[in-house]
Amino acid sequence: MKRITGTFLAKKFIKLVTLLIAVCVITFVLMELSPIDPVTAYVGASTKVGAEQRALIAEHWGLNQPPMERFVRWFTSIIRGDWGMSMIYRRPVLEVIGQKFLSSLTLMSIAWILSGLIGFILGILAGIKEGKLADRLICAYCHILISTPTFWIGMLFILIFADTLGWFPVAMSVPIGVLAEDVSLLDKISHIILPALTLSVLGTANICLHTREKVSDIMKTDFILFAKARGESSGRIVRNHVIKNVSLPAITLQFLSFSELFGGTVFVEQVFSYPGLGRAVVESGLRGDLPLLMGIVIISLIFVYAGNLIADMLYRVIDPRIGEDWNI
Amino acid sequence: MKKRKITAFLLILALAVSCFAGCGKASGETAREERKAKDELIVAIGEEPETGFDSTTGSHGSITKVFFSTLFQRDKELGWINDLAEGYQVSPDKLTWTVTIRGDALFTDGTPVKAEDVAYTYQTAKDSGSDIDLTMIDSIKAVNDTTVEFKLTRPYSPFIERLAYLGIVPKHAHDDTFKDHPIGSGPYKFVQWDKGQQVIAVANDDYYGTKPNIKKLTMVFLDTDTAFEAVKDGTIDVAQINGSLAGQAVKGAKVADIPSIECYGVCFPMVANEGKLAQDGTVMGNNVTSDLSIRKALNTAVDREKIVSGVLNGYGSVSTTGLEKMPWLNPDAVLDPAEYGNVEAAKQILAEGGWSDTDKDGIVEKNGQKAEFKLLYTEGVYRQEMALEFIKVASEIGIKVQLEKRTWDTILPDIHKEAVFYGFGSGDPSELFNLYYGGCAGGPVAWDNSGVYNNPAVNACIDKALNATDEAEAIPYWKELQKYTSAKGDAPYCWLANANHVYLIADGFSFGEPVVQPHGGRIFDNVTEWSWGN
Repeated sequence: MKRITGTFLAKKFIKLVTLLIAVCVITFVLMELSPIDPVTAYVGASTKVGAEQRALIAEHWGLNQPPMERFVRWFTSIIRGDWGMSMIYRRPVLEVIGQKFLSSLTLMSIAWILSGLIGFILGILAGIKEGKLADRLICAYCHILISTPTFWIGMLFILIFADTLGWFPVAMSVPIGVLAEDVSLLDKISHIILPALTLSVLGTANICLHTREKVSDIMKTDFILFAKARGESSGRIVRNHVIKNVSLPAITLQFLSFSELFGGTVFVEQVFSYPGLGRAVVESGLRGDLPLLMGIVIISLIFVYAGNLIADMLYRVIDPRIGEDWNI
Repeated sequence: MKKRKITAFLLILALAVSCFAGCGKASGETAREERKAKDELIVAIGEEPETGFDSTTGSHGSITKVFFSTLFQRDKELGWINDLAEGYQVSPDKLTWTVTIRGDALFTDGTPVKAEDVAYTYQTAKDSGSDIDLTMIDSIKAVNDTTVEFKLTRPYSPFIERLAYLGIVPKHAHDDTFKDHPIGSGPYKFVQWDKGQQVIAVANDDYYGTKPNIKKLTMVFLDTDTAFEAVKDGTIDVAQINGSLAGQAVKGAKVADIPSIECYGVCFPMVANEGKLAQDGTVMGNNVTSDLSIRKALNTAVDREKIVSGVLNGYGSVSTTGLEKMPWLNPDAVLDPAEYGNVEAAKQILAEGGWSDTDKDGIVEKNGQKAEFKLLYTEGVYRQEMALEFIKVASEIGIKVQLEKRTWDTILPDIHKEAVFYGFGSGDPSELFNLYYGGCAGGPVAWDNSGVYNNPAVNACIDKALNATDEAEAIPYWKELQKYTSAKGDAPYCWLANANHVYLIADGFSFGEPVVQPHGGRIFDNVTEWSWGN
């Protein structure tokens, strides 16, 4: 059994490495093909920087070398563990990512848990009440959410909860003008609620609709009919039969949603002026900061891949029937 | 029983939510009153320097002036006054600039500012490969504690501009962590930086100049719309906005606009398209705009006042030279209000130039060439609206201008063969070199003289101006060249308007008397004058 787990992980690891290399190459090629000139993007349309200085900048950041050479240099240094310097931030790429990723991570985990829980509960509710008013309301809610862009929901939330009702602050992750030592946990929580809520809303709909589908399938099975015939209340049916059967696909789905979560963060952070990785992605792409962009691409790939891997593993842990066949 | 549980739960939830509501709207205005009483201010102005607050690794725009002192700065009339410097001297061969600095300035860590720090700052900035262009400097030397010598590679009269934007850093404390904890000798002392969000500063009690009225200054980095909302609900006090938001009335706040030299205009390709290539291989020239009567007709037809009132909502001023309010403006180059916004006169110019609509399709022709060209513009406030007004007027006089949106990267292939919509206004006379110098055309920086204008008289004036000892000696030459570059001369541009910098400010707040703002702003130059008026 252990040996099999070993080969499973080894295979997954090889897959990850090849995927990483492929994604790096593609990102690099795309950046090369884009019309963005890093020096111009760095300087902006300033008339105060002459041709001579532009050449110096290109030289300083190694931008005057042919693309192939730059890629090979970047690649060999990253294998040695050196992620390079971000041109925009003038700091080591890992430092920038580390800082930004931490604040994004809190946001993402809150949103992830919220969307998972709310989606799951709503899904079960809709599933057992299939066709009834509650189901129709929940479905309508989900369909509306699924077809709404995240940034729009964010703006709507700001308008309602921050602007009109004044319950939450408009933006940022810390209170304005307050020294770090005076910032309380409550302050931090009140700043994260709105962005986290916005981010979770999208995931909720997805998981809710899937769970609902699964629940309604289960509700039609013979063993539920039998349970009903035995006189079990719907509460007990849910507890005894439905949750067990539904939790597996729900958990998988929840771990697979890492990629959407990551994509959603980019928008939410923009709308809420929240300092996370999302904003760094946009900046590095638009301004041709290759080392930073590549760094973020690698980190996000590992993040999403880890999500998928966990889902795969959980499948096997929760449902022993799958565990018998460890092939991938 | 169950129902009571639910009610209890809801009550708890409601309580919890109202807890967070503490920082909500009602308290926003009281918070502002508290700030007023304590001379504290929260502003959303300008962009965050992502590289941190190390002035040697990037020109940070106006925010430099909060923490750092520069050697010189522009005064209210756009002349030069000393900041950290006490004066300068230029050697007879114009290659050595000797700057003396005051002896009483202190960094916020208590150490005196010495010439050595100045030399170190300039050397570091020069070597940093950043957007601070110091390529005209050959070497820098601290002669004694208060004298610095800059040796230049060539005479360069606008050199003082380079001495006005670089914040001086202390040599002894300039290490890897400096950008996160800057030490300067400016009016404010650095306290805290929450990356991506805000920076907090307090008044520097040891500042050698006038002490600032505002004792605690918080600068937040928000996008314009969010900042606007934040002023509305009292969270912040001042926000930079744009003219289109200025129309909304806001309780407890008003709009303040500051004159600027943020000038918008259309650059025309000046030569015919003969297949000549620029250095980067793109084609130069346009057969329509190379005709003087086309350029003059457009300059005559466009109603700048309409642009100021319609597009800028009145927050701006007419520009026909791109140099209004500058000390080096040649008044003879300015168009009189009677000389523009006149469609009939424009048609007359076209007719005299040989352009007429023979096939009755609404577009004039000359020798089989239809009067049509593209106008390329980029994303930015006001740009699209102004460009639309421009093409509308052009169509009234029978010139078909096709509007196309590009980015600064995708504009490059056509930059020399189509008209381009620009925003200029660095507030530096040497910008005239970038705009009109023949030698720049088709060179390594594509938007320097992208219209390929080449008038030997203009080139000679620019050479003389750059070769002068200093700005004062150069100004007559800068003025002279405008004889040719104005709309009355060769009309290489059609200048439209200056957009004022617009701010939403809380009632009671005053900027004092800010200087005329260049592109990118100079708003923090007089930060010590800002006040709550109490």
